[in-house]
Order: sequence, then C-alpha cells, then structure tokens
Amino acid sequence: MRWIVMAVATGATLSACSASKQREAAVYGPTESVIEVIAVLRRHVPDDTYRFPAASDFTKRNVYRSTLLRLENLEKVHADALRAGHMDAAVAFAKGRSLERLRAYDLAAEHYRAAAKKSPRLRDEAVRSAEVNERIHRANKVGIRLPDPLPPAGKRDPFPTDSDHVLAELDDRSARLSGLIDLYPDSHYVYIVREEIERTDVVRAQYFAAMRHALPGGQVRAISELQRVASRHVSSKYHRRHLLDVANFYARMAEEYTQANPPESLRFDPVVFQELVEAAMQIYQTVAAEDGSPEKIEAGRRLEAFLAFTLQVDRDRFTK
Amino acid sequence: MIDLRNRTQSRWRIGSRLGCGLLALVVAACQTQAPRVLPTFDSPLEPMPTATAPVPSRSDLAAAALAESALASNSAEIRQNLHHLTLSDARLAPLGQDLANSTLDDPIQYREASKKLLSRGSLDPLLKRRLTKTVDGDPLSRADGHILDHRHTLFAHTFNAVTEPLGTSVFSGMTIAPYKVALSAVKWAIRMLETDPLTVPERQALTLRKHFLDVHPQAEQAPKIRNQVEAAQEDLHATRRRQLLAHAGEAERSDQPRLARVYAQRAELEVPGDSQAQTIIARADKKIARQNRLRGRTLQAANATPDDLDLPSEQLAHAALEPNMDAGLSRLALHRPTAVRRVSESLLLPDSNLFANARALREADTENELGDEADFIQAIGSHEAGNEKLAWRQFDDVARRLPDRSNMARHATALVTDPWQNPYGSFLVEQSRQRREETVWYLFGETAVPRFKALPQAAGYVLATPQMAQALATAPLRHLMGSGGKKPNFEKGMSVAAYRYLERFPNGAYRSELIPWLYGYEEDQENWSKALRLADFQPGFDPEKRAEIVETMGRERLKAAGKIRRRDTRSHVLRNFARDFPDSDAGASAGNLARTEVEEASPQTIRMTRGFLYENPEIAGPNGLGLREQYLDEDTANGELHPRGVVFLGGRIVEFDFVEPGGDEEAEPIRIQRPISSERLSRTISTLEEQTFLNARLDHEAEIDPDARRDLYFERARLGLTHQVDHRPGAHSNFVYESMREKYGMVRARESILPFDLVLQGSVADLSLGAFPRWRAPKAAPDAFLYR
Repeated sequence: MRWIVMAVATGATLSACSASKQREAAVYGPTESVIEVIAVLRRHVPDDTYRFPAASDFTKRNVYRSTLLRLENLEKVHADALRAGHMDAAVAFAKGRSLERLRAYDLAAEHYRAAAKKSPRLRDEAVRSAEVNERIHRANKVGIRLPDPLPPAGKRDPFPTDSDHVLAELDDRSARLSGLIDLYPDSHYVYIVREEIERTDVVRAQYFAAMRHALPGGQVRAISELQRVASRHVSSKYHRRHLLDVANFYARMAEEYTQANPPESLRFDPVVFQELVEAAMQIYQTVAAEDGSPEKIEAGRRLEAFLAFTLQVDRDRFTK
Repeated sequence: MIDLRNRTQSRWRIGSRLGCGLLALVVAACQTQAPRVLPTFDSPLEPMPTATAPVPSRSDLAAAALAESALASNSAEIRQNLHHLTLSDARLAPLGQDLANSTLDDPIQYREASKKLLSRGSLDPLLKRRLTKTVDGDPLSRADGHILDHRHTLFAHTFNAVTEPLGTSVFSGMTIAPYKVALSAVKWAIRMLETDPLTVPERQALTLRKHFLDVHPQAEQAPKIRNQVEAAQEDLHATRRRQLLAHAGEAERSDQPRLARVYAQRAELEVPGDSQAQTIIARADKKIARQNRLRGRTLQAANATPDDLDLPSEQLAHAALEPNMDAGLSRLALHRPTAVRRVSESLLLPDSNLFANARALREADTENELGDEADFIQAIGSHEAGNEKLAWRQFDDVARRLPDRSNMARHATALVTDPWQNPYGSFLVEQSRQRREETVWYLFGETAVPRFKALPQAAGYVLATPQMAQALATAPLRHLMGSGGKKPNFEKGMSVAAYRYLERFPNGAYRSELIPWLYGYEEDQENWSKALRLADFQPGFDPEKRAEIVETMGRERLKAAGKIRRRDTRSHVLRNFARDFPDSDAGASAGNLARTEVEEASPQTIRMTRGFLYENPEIAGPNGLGLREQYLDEDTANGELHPRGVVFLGGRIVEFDFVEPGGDEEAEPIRIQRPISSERLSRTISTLEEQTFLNARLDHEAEIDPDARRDLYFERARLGLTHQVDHRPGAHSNFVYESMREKYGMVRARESILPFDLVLQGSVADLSLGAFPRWRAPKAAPDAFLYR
C-alpha cells in the first residue's frame, strides 16, 4: 500500500508543476512597427483571394483590414517620429494595397498617387496600380448595384424594369473588367478583377431573382442566372455560397408555391412541389457533405429547416 | 494704576486667548490626519505635448528604402537596402530580412526562409512568435499534426482502458480486477469498432492536404500527397456511408420508412452497390407500399349496405352524378336507405339534433349493424352538449371495439389518441409514462444503455447489465445520500398536454384539476411568471402567497434585465415590470432602475479599469490619454483613479472615476465627465489598440475579445468623426479592458507538465474507490465542428 501512496504523492507533486507563463518584454519603435506591418502585408499581396479566403492576422482580422487599421494607429501613435515623412510613401503605398483588397478602389488610387509623388522608387508601380484601381472603380460604376435593403431615408434606388438594358450594362462592366486581366495577366490584380467579375455575375443573378415576378419567364430566368453563377465560378471561394443561393431559391419557390396553392387545396400539384423540394434538398446535401467550411453547417441546418417545413404538407400530398 | 492693572489684565486676557487658540490648534493638529490633496478635477489631463519632428536616423532611412523596394518587388534594391539597414542598425536586420523574405511569392519558400531566420536565434520575441506561427501554419505540418492527434487519441483510450479498471480495483480488492479488466477490454474493443474509418482529425488532415494540392499542384510533395488524399477519400466515403446508414436505421426504428429510404439511397451513392443500404431500401419500399395500401383502404367505402336496410329508396336523377364516380359509390348513392340518407344529411346541417339522429339510426337498424355509427354520433352529441367526460367515455368505448367488426372503431381511435383532439387523454398517457420513467430512474439512476453504430441494441443491454444491477442494489443508499444526480423533468410532457387542454377547452371539465396541477409544476420548476398567471386563474388563491410570487418573480426579472446587453430592451423590460406590478418592492426597484437607465444612458460605455491602466502605462501616459501621473501612482493621498477606471461615453466625452477623498476604494467613485479633443481621443484609441495588439502577440491569454460595436466607435474616433454621435442602442458597446489579474485572478491557469491526470474516483452507485492515471487525449481543434 505504501508504494501506492508514494506514487500518488509524487504524481500529484509533478502534476502541480507547470510551465509558468510570463509576458516577454518587447517594444517596437516606429520604424520596427512599420516594417513589421508592411512585411505581413507584403507576404499576402500575391494571395489569390478569388479562390481562397483572405488570410487573417494574429487578431483574427482580415489581414488587409488589419494592416490598414494598424498603419492608421501607427500614424497616430508615432506621429512625431513619422512627421519627417521618410515613411510616407511606403505607408501610403501599403494602404493602397490594403484598400484595393477591401474594394475601396478610389481611395486606393488616391493613396497610390500620393505614394508615386513621394517616392521615385515606388513611382512606376504606384502609377500602374492607381490606373488599375481607377479603371476598376470606373467599371464598377457601370450598371446597377445590389440595393441596400435598409437604405437611408430618401435614398431608395429601385431596380429598373428594362432587363435588356440592365443586362447590356452589366455585360459592359464584365467586358471592361475582363480587359484588365488581359492587360495585367501576371499581377495580383487578376484575382481582384476576377472577384469583381464574380460580383457582377451575382448582381445580375440577384437582379433576375428579385424581378422574377415582374419579368416574363422570370422564375426560369432567375434559376438559370443563379446556376450560371455557380457554374462559371466553380473555383471561387464562394462556390458553395453560390450553390446555397440556388438551393435557397428552390426552397423559397417551394414555400411560395404552398402559399399560393395551400397543400390541402385542390390546386396543389404534388409533382411540382416534389420537384422543387428535390432540387433544393439535393444541393443542400451536396454542400453539407463538404468538410471544413461554414457553408457545410449552414447547408445542414437549412436542409433540416426545409425538411421541417415540408412536414406541414400532408403525407398524402407530398412523399419524401 | 487702574490703567496699568487693566492693561495688565487685558494683556493677560489676550495672551491667555492666544495661548488657548494655539493650544487648540496644536490639539486639532494632533487629532486630525494630514490634509489630503484633492485631485484637480478641472484638469485631470496633462496638456498635450508640443509636436516635434526629429530628423530620421540612417537606419530609419534605410528601413524606409527597404520597405519601398519590398513593396515595389525590386529584388536588386531589396538586397542593397537590406545590406544598408544591416550596416546601420544590426538590431533591425532580422526584421529587414523578414521583410525581404516576404517578397518571396511562394508560401513554401517563405516558410523555408522563416525557418532559416528562426534558426539564427536572438530574434526579438514579437518576430520570433510571428515566424513560429508562420512555420507552424504549413498545411502539411498541420495535417501531420492532426494525424498525430488521431494516433494519440487511440493510444490514450487504450492506456486508460488498462489503468482505470486496475486503479479502481486496488482499493476494493484485486479479486475483481480480472472482471473489470475484461469488461474494460470489451468496451475498448467496441470503441475501436465504433471508430469511423476516417476520424475528425483525419478529415481535418484530408482537407488541409487537398488545400495544399489546390495551392501547389506542381509542388515536389504533390504526388505523395495526392496518394494520401485518394486513400483518405475512400475512407471518407465509408465514414459517410456508415453515418447515413445509422440515420437510416434510426428512421426505420421510429417508423419513418420514407426518411430511411432517403438516407439509404444517399449511403448507396457514397458506396455504390452497398448491400446494407440496398436491404434498407427494400425494407423501406415494402413498408411504404403497405402504408399506401392502408391509406387506400381509408378512402374506400363499404361495398354493400346491409341487406335488411335495403328499403326502397328515392330515385335520384342520373344527371346529378359525376361522370367518373365510382360504380360502388353510385350504387350507394342511388340505393341508400331513406333513413340512413336522412340521418347523414341531417348530420351536416347546423343545429342538427345529434341524439335524435343517433336514435333514428338505431331504430332503422334492427340488426344493430350501424350501432357503432349511432354510438359515435351519440358521443359527438355528448361532446357538443358540453358533457365532455361522458363523450370521451363513449368515444373510448367505440375505439375499443374490433376494427373488423366496427366501421367507426378506427375513427374513434384516431380521435382518442390525437393529442390535440383529446388533450386530457394525452395528459393521462403522459402521466403514466412519467410514473414509469421516474420509477426506472429511481431504481437504475443515470445508467444509460449504450447505443452502437456497429452492433445491435442487445449488445448495449448486455454491457449495461452489470452496471444496472449495481445501481439497483445501491438505489436506496444513493437516494439517501442525495448522490443520484439532478432529477430530470419527467413531467414536461404532462405540462404540454395540460396547457394544450386549457388552450383547446378553456372552460373544459378538467380545468379545475389541471390548473392547480400546472401551478404546482411551474412552482417546482421556478417559472414564477407562469406560476403567477396560473395562480390568478384560481379563485380564492392566498393573496400573501401571490405577493410572495410577485416579489420572487421581480427579483428574477431584475436579474435577467441586468444581463440584457441592449439598453433599450433592458429599459423596456424594467418599465414593463414596474408598470405591471407597481405595488411590489420589485416593481419599485425596476422603476428606479429604469429611471437610472434613462438618466445615465450614454452612447458608449467602453471602460478601461485602473488595473489595466497600471499594467499598460503607455495608454494613460503622455503619448496616450495624458492622465496626470499622480492619479495612477497607487497613492490615494494625492488623488487616485478609482478601480473602475476611465470610460469612453461616446462622442468625445470621457468619464474619469476617482477614489473619493476619504480614500475608500470600495466606495462609489467620484465621476468626472469631460470632453477631450478629437486629437487626444484619436491618439488614445490608437495607443490602446496598438498596446492590446502587442500584448496579444506576446501572450495569447491577453487576446482581446472581438466587439464590432467597440471597433466601429474606435474607427470613427480614430478618423476624428466624433461630431456625429451614434445614439443607436445597437451601436452601444459596454466592453471592458481588464488587467490580467482582473481577468484570471492571482494565479493564472496552469498546465500540468505530465501527459496524464491523476484521478481519485469513488462512486456510490457501484461502491468503488480507486486512483489511477488518466492519459489526456488531445483537445479537439476549434474548427472540429466543421468536420462532423
């Protein structure tokens, strides 16, 4: 028995031992801080943010947003040390690189222009980047934008009803953006432009989804546009999101169908309802089977919610 | 002489008065403490330092040049500027080297370069941590780490399967050790059998390897990784098949053949031709076909009317019939007996006399072949007449008849068993279930029968039998000692049925029975608002008891209101309570709190405690808030910040909380609210953020929780956009920056250096006592939920 007691006592003593944690001292001056921020940003400049999600830094923030915030902080905290202006060009250029990934192309262009003025070393690249950003900004102004569901008072901007005109404008936007890929095929702007093209396609699909009751053949057109986004952007990081959009649309149609034709009424057609349900379920299941993405959880829960919705339809009107 | 005497007396008087005064002063000085220096609340902040523009050093210029060349991706200039930087300031060289490395656009090369830089040693802690994180972020290393975790978990389970039974046998006698070890071995074997072909850590590894192939399809390691991915992918299909078949089995057990079929079909998609899936599909098809047959039967009418009722019927015009009407139905329609037709038509009319109809049907039916229909109509009549108890007795009577002898038995059964149609019946059913479950719980405690994916249910019972026997034997002792664990709420089903009854039949016959029962139930569950509502439904309820419930409910409501983050919702809850119960103490408190809410509301309440400012002096210092040094010198005599610290109230208003002049830190602080300049606010917030970022990089426990509302305010303040105060309640943040001691106490959590915990375990259920080492399995990764 004694050896057991000894073993327990020894173990308890050892388990109480631990590696103590003490914060190490480290103080960065203005130069070190700026170099650190720029190094982190520079590492992520060539990232393909069209295919993969943007990296995050130690604060778990989007690295581009974090860079911008930190540079602004450093400008305030070390205002005196940086007042001589020796870091101005680098800071402005780095802000431009961050802003263009945050879709603030006009601001990014301004910062590039400022950097070009201040540094001969950065001039060529800054001017080129400013031009690209201005062109993206101009392209994005062409055509409609997704409306803000909660616009400030008096700023409501309804969708136009002329779908041909809308389509022509969005095609124009896509063409302008695609032209930039051809101009700068080896730069990181390829990814940024691809993201913008993807957004243009999403705007187009959402336009038709929103206008489906107002346009002739609107339902079919909306579905085909949503499917077009999913099929054109298979390698996008938002591919699963696009698939979910299609599934959600089918689910919404199924709900609208039951509202228009209550399942207990004689107008309810089980076959039509079944087709909508199967289409939605199949896509939800596909996305729910994808490991490692938040959409997996969303698809799984939406599938459950959708199945719960179908429970309200009598068993003799709908067969799962 | 008189004058002299008078003068002398006068002098003496003056002298004595002066002496008394001096004495009084001396005494007063001895009796009171030294006078405190009160904080100069009018200006708690130092003036902002004058702006300077120091000339940049050589190293600053070299660093700027290196930063520019790195951003411009000019390799030649990078090398040259890095050389200049290294020559001008060796301390900056590693940072410069890292900046140069960051221009390597290939992540693999960057990680290699970072490894090399780390191997140099003597890096500053910030850079060291950042580079270590980069190196550890390699997807292939992380994938290998997950595989290691998987193996580690298997080892931990095996180790514990041996040590636990041995350890718990030592004190209770080694004679039972073989039995315990054998049982543990069986459980271990089942666990291994139950383990999915691809576990969660392996799935995480698979995803990481796939990601690596996506990013680096041409990498040197790609062929090897591709093989690993293919092998794992097969296991993933097998895992999914297994999970889907388990769901299908559950659906079958709960009599949902359609759902079972869907799951089995999906399982077959994962592993084409899977025999188990096909068997389930076949079984489900058979069940669905049977259900369809039964459903079809419910739509059929009787083939023939009773012969003796085949009285001459009224001839109906053929034109009234639908062209596609079933022949049998047509015959019934054309040849139905007059009495039956009259009754059936009368039943559908409003205000029909159901008892007379039942009587007419019985009189017309001499052979009693429509007797159950008559009884059913009688029961409906009783129900509609308000004789609820009798009606359900009659329905129950019809429901108990044999379905092949009675047309109405199945309809009566449907009514009697429908929880919405017969909620009181449902209440009684739930009551008997509750008694059964409570008895089982009393006898067997929380002994659970395990369910296995790979084994039949009987295996679970076999494994649980010894535990159940022990629990049964020790049940009285367990309940005597109150160690049986928290009693589950067995009466929930009853309460649902009771509420349903009151909703359906507010003036029903069982109302007077169910309301007191529900009151007792809600009181036991401490649902005071529901209990109060039910008390109000009971005539003659004790007013003192009611007042007591109101006070208890009020206290709970105030406590709950304190946890509501949004001030408008909180205020709404408080105002409502004060309005509904104005005569109660709790109502008065709620009213006072609601008023305080309005009086003290501010757009923001972002607070930095004094402890946090002690730990991070830069924030309150001249480059931050610029608080006078004396208020943070841990000396209350010259004025000190209260432990509550400093609060950003929104806009440019900052509240400084000071310890009251008596020096009592426990007392309410003296609150001074002052607007500060946009520049000072912006600088303070920038310093605060930079300092917290720095802390978080050096110590992960110092990480600051995310708060989008706080960040929005900071962002606007940093840009000087504080002239427009955001008054939306949703934009309000009450984030508190606390010191490490305030967060974690005097001693921070420690991790044992041993890979196992020492467990001392005793159980009243099986009268065991033991000590053993339990190997710690690795913790699940935070994103493990995305792989299940």
